[in-house]
Amino acid sequence: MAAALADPHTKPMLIKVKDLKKIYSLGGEISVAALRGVGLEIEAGEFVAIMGPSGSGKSTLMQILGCLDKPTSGKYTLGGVDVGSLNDNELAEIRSLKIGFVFQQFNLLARTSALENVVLPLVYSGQAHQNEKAVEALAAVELSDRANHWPNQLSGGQQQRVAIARALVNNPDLILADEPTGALDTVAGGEILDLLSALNKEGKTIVLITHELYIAEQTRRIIKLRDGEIVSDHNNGERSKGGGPN
Amino acid sequence: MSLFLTIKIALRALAANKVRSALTMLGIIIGVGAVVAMVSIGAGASQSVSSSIQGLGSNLITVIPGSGGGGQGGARQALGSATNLTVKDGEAIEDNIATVVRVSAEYNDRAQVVYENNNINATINGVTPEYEKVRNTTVEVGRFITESDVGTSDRIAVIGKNVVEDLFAGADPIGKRVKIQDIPFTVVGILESKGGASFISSDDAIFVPLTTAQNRLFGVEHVSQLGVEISDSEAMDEAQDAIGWLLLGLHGVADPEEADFRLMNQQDILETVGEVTGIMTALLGGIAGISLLVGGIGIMNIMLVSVTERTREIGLRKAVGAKRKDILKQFLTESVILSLIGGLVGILLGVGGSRLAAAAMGSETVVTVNSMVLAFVFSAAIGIFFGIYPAVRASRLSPIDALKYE
Repeated sequence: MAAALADPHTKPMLIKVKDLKKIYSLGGEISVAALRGVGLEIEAGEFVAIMGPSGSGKSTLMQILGCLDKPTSGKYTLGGVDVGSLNDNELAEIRSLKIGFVFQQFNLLARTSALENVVLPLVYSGQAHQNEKAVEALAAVELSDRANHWPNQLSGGQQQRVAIARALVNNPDLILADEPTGALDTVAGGEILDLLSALNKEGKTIVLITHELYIAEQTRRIIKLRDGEIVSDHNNGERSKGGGPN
Repeated sequence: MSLFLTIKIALRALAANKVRSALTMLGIIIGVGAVVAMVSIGAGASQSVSSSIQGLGSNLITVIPGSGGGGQGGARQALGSATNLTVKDGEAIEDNIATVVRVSAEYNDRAQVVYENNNINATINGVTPEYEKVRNTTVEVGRFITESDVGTSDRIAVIGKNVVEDLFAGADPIGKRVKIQDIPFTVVGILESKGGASFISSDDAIFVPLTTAQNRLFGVEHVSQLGVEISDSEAMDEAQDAIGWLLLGLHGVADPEEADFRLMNQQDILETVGEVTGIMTALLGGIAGISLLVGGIGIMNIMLVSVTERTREIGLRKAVGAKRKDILKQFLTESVILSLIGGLVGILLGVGGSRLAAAAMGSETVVTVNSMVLAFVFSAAIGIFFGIYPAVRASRLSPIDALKYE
């Protein structure tokens, strides 16, 4: 019980972001600051929504959290690894082992079966038992019977579930979902949110980017961004299990 | 990622645009096909020239007179025009050099030949019986010139295949009388056709005894050339030196630079001809190679289009963990597969094309394994060379830009 003696606020965070800045140079002397010093911490097992209007910097933040992009300045630590010091190949490795992506447009490979789409991250990280793991992940999103279908033979909701299976297959520390319901109708979108909630209850850390409040309210913590800065960060009372409102 | 999987993904991507892939391959197919066909035609020509030169006699050293006249201040005349080479030189060579099998002394000139109403200007070859063996000649009908013909300066003639056509219009010439410079000759034999290049063919010539040509027809004492057959191809160089020194001595010339004769080795002629046909083959192959280059540029073009079209796919692959080298490998594999399949089909087409050319032109073509392997390796190299740039471009795409690409 040594852990119980430690101060709960000093236990290792999954995500630690400190004074993160991202400045896009548009050529010449014109530059745009997409993030102006963001700091945040996310524990393992959290279900967090990042909200904000267009241009608030939420997509930029997601790209940096997803190791797709590097910040201009500031520090980002993911699972104890200082991401800022990694090169392109090491970032690719982090993406394939620690992060699962779910995109608004699904981004499945055309003319490629659901199973082969799901297997893709395993192929690039070179893991063993690739097919078994992919079959398992498809079962987790209840699409076992569609394993050999191409994306164009699946509904939007089914395609997004294949994408979630692909995000899950590497057993990642973090699932990043960028407007996962943005291209779906309300019913299919609701199913996807239920699926993400269920995954969170099984212990997955999920960060969801959205601009819809009713979607954000399905999560346990809402971070609001505006003009590249965090304007609010609070627990979502109704859904939260531990900890009171701050 | 395993090679098998990389190839599978590449084949699937190529199959997605079948017509485009096929048209891209067509450039390589035509290029490789042209190289294989052209090189085989060149090699065939080279082989047929070489074999007709070898048909003139093997292990042969030819002695021709040097340029006539000259000396101090006088105008030098053409090579072979000197009159200092004689039958005695030939006899001396045969008697003094061990590796010499036999010597054929020959005098040739052109003369008017008449049979009934037909009238041709033909090469008259004054020869001895040795000619038949030294120059690899075979009598088809009748007999060749004998020792006694030469001894008596008989007025008999052995004629080449084309002369039968030209002078006798195909009728049987044996026993017929022709007039060479108004002197009547009896035809006693016809030589077998040698075919081959006309400048070295005996098909157009009329053969008479050497003494007849020298005394009755042209009134000369010298010979035009001596054909010396050597026993062994290994002994050629040695024999050539020996003949050279012997003749220098006989002609009283001290300095080899001043020699009044020339020695030609069959091997030297073969090498020269080989060089010429080699240049021709390289030229043909080079021109065909340009089309291969154009085919390669076609591959690069299509791969660049493909990279642009599949930007989102590249972005997604990178997002789920593909490294630069994975993307590079994938696109490079596609271009190499395009060029290799194109190369294989091109080889088949080239072999077929060279057969067709052989049938159409009646000449022989030689498809060498070398030219096929070369074409195959070259097409693979083209796939890599022209695939590198598009593949590098794909691998350098930033994942976020690629994912955003519409």
